[in-house]
Amino acid sequence: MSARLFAQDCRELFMEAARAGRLSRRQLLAAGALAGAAPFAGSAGKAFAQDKPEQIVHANWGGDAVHCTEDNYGKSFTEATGVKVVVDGSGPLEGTIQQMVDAGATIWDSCDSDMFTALRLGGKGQLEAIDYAIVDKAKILAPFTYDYGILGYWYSYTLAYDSSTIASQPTWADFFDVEKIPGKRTLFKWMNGAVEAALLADGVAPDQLYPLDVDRALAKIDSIKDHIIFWNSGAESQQMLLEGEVVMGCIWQTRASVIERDTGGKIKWTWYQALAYPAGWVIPKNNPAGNEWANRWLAFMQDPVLQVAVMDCFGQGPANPAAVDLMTPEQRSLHVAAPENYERQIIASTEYWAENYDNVLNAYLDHISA
Amino acid sequence: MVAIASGAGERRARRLDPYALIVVPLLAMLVILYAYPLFKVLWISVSDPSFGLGNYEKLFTAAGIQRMLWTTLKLCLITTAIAMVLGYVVAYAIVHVGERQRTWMWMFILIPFWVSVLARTFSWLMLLHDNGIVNDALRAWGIVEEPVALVRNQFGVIVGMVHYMIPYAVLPLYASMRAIDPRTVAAARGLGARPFEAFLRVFLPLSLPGIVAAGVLVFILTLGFFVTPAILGGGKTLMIAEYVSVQILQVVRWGVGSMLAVVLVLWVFLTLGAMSRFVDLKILFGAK
Repeated sequence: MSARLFAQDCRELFMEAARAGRLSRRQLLAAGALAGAAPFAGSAGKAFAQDKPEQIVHANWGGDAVHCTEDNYGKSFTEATGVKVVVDGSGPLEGTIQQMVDAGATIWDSCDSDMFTALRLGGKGQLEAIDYAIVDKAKILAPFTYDYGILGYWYSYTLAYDSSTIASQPTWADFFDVEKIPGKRTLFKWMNGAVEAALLADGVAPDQLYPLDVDRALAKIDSIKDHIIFWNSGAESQQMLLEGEVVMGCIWQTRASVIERDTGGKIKWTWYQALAYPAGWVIPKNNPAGNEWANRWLAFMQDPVLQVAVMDCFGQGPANPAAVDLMTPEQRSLHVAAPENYERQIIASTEYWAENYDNVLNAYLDHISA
Repeated sequence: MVAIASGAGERRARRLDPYALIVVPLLAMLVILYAYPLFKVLWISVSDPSFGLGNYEKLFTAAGIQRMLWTTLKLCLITTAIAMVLGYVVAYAIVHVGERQRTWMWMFILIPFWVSVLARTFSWLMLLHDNGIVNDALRAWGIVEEPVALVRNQFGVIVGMVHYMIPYAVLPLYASMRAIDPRTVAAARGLGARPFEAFLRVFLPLSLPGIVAAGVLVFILTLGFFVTPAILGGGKTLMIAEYVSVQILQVVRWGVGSMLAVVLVLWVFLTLGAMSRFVDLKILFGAK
């Protein structure tokens, strides 16, 4: 009787240690065997979630991102580890992740997330920590290695314009000058890029951009509001330029380059003063496959060859600086973080947006819908 | 089909009908899947971020929220009014045409009714935007020089919403008009009323319950519009459904989002309450 209690107590001690992260899985298994409690593996719960999981579920924003992630990262990961990868394209918005975690029903092992969202969620205790013993900091462009999220890829808000009506590449100042260049323009309905562009147009120096003078930006947007329509999805921004509904747009580089190709160069765009946003990968709290395997999966996606393959598939710019060396000149020209492009852009402040995203977005939406 | 409340219901004995047991599982499911989450929404609205009525205070202090609510109410009322007028005309026509035409007319009502809201919204966009078919035609015929802003504004939102809502207006109106005895109009004519007078003083009052029912149905449904204003509004038309979604999913202010959801539910109940003064709800929802 006491032997069993002792065994149980050993087990409990070990479980506590394991929960506190002081024991490796091997030690834990050995402890289980020692205590003569082999069957407890099934009942031990969380600590044994580190067992090889059946699958990893990665959530992203849908569309091509689903099959591009599955076919490249996913397939290779399965070959390497035997663990299946399922990509859920339903959109891991901040509120969705938080709701899932709060309800104790996390179904995702990893998510695409804006870098600033990673900070926001991490600060609220909604994310698993990144394990830098597994994830390699050297494979991530500095400084985007946070406690609760790593840089996953890049996207950028570039100025695209219709060269059949506009003779030369406009600046943000031209974008907000409807006297100089008549016609409608389009900005992102969900604010990112738009507020910064307005301030740059109003004469704020790029290195003085953050913290943003939101009132000034909104006043600038107000000044041409009748000439702005707002895009809600990448496809919509593409369609507006293709159909000639707008003459200029502050749109993602992925869409801009596709439109340029599809129109045979009629629509042009530039990296100059584009707003580059780092996008993160995060692990929602209590993910089904466990912290270790989720970290392994993130580490696996650091492979520069795979990152370039994914970029080819749907355009997102690799996070691993080594990826640049593997690129053709054409690929480099489309990569946000290729040094020659990177230095021409303005890097969005992750810290600023982590702090202010909710307030500024509400203010922005209030303004554009007024 | 639509008659003013009769005494039939009240005469039914007030003891438990054994058949009522059949609805118990359904009722339980409703309580668990509907009432409980709704209660939780209510709870979040008074407890997030802190306990109290802070979120509700925003109804009186936050200009952005007030403006959004006003936009919602305004667009929904305009949409309801237009959809009701058009729906009434269509329903009136369907009641009075011959069998063959009726089949055709139903087809034109029902086929768009079954098409997804997304497809219909994008179709309007294709037709109405600055270089769309309508504007191209207007310019080609020399009617306008510059494209007319028909979409990406509140006008476009109303067009899309009215189009979506017409079948919802026609169906209850048609049902109520079918129930009107055509001999009443004939009698009015026989007694010397001019055609329009007969319509105004006999047919229209008799179709009033249908008008109220359809109007309320349309109004309540318009309150929940999400896709149409989001796409046809060009980002400048923010209505309550989208606003709630932003608060819940993007800026993660569940308190504010839930508060607005409660406001929406209250609007619906108030509308139903107001309507119940005119028509019997049980008849409206087919319970009698």
